[in-house]
Order: sequence, then C-alpha cells, then structure tokens
Amino acid sequence: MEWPRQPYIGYPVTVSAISDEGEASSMSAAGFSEMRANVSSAAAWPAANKAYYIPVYVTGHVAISSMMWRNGATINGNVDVGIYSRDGTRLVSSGSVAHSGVSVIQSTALSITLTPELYFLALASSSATATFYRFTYGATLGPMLTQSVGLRASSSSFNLPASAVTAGWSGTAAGLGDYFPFLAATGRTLI
Amino acid sequence: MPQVAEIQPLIISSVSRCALGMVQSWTLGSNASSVTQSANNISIMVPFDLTSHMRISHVWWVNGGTCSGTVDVGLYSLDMTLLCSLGSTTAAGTTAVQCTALGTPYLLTPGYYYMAISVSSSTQTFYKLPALQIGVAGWKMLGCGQVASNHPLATGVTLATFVESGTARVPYFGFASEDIS
Repeated sequence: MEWPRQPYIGYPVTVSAISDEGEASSMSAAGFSEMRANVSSAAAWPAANKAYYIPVYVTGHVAISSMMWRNGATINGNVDVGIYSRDGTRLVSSGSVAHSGVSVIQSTALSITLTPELYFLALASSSATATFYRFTYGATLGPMLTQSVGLRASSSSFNLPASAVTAGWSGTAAGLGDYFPFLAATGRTLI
Repeated sequence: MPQVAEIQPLIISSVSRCALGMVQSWTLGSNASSVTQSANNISIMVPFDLTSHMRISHVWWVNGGTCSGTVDVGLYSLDMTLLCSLGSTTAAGTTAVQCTALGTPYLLTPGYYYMAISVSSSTQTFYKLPALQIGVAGWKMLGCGQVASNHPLATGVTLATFVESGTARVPYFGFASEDIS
C-alpha cells in the first residue's frame, strides 16, 4: 500500500507508460489480463495528427535524454514525442522526425530534467496508416480503462502543441478508443 | 536535508496500488465484468492509503450494460465519518465511465481512508473486479467491508463484514483531482 509514492532522491532508468511510474500499471492488477495478452500487437495510429498523453508519476529527479516507442510493420509519415506538465503545458518535444524502422524500437533525442511531479508522456503521428505497438483491451473495456487511468488525446495536434489544453485534450472514451501507446523516456542508452 | 515535494495524484481507484491493486495481481483469475450489486442501497467500502495531499474534484465509476436508479460515491475516515460524497446521482451511460464533479472539492490529507460506492437499484450494473482465486477471504483480509441501507451515503454508519457471493464483488470506481471525461 504505497501509492502514490513519496518522492525520493533517485534516478529512474526509464519513465514509461506501463512501468511503476504510471497509474496505468495498476490496470494489470485489475484483472484486465488483456494487457498482457495483447502487449505485442501493433495497429495503425487511430487518426492522422492525433496526439496521446499518458500520465506518469516521476518520484525522483531524472535527466531525460531521449524518448522511444516501437514501430509496427507499416512505416509512414512523421512522429513527434514530448513531455507535458500536469496542466497541459509542453515542456519539451522532439519536433517532427521521420517514422523509421519496421518493427523496431525507434528513439529520438530530447533533453529535460524532471523533478518529482506528475507529467504526461506524449506521442503524435502525422499518419493514420503508420503502425505502432500499443496495448489493447478490447472494444468494450479498452476505452473505459484508458480513460480511467487518466489518458488523454487531442486531434489536429501534429506537431505537438505548446498547450494541450488549447488543443482540446480530453479523456473521453470516444476520443481515446482502444489504443494505449507504448512510450518511454530515459536518460540512458538502452537501444 | 533534502527537500522533497508531494505529488498530488491524478486518479485513485479501487485498483490503484494504494488500494487493492498490488495484491489483486497475485490473486485474480479473470477479467472485470458487468454485474449488479448484491442488493439495493448497499455500499461497498474499499480501504486505501494516501501519502500526499489530494484535492478531490471529481468521482467516477464504470457503468455496465444496464443503468438504473442513482449512485453515490464518497470517502470515509476509518471511524466511518463521511468526509465528502457526491450525493444521489442518476446513473447514465451504459458501458462507460461516468465522471461527475463534487459540489465542492475536498482536500484530503495523507492518511488511511475508505472509498465507498452505493446504488439505489439492484438492477444497476457496474464493472466489477472478478472473484479472487482465494475467495472472499481475500477481500476481507485486504480490508474491504460493506454497509447495508447506506444510500445515499451517510455518516456514522457501522461497517459490516464483506460478503462475496455471485454479484457481491468490488466495483471499479474512484476519484480524481481533475475531470477525466
């Protein structure tokens, strides 16, 4: 019984959508075993220029030097990744980078030092045909689960907007759909 | 001495790690599903601990395939004092998260509490956690309880033993510091 953890002085290796930093990690503890069953599936980005925002609790100071995601089999368009404050302000982003590399982890450099707080990891794709590995929970449970752990999405958000609020981010199930992008930030060289 | 800051949670639910989440991962055998409460006007009480302050502005639950009657969600201290609650609210929107703002946001301080949910109708369905593989003993050992005739949620109630049988399971619900809809 330790959540939310009190901040401590430490250096997380990664901050990801599903590791200990995210409320979403509790989903696997909720009997929603689809998370495990479909962890390795890839699917087309739900809509061109759509952005997803995934909440993570950063409990230690950490210098982020890159963000990474895993591509599916179809490469198309461009990607923008970034980190937002809890009030929806963009703190850092990669800018547009070409979607590149079939079924591999793709990373891009950016630089920010995070202090203990709640943040949102963000990913936007310019293409609706580009595929990414993501978690899926089924058409019924999926939208509700992603909403209930605090995911948000916005349209017309490529490149990632300076303010997600202004871009109209929301956590409606219809906007989120059954799509939970697998995204991480790190200060290490991992790939 | 280093200064550390609190991190106000965005969401806490019945399956958060500060509630039932971590333990469930060891013991659940299936997925959440849409089922009714075991009786109308019963409230289910789920313990949790909070290690930082949290300004609670919204509460939410997940409706199942049938919406009927009214729902209430609130927070209790361990002595069963009702700290805040939504009040009777019409269940609306099948198979969806229903998120509603409290009339007045409530500032919860670090400590141990119960989150509670009640419903007026025995046909209203919620997405609920599956039965534990170790049976009702698991819910009891995690601290869950229930209160009969507690809708809308009232203060000064008496916590009774949690009963798990068929539909008597723990709903997936919680509260948030922001609107999640």
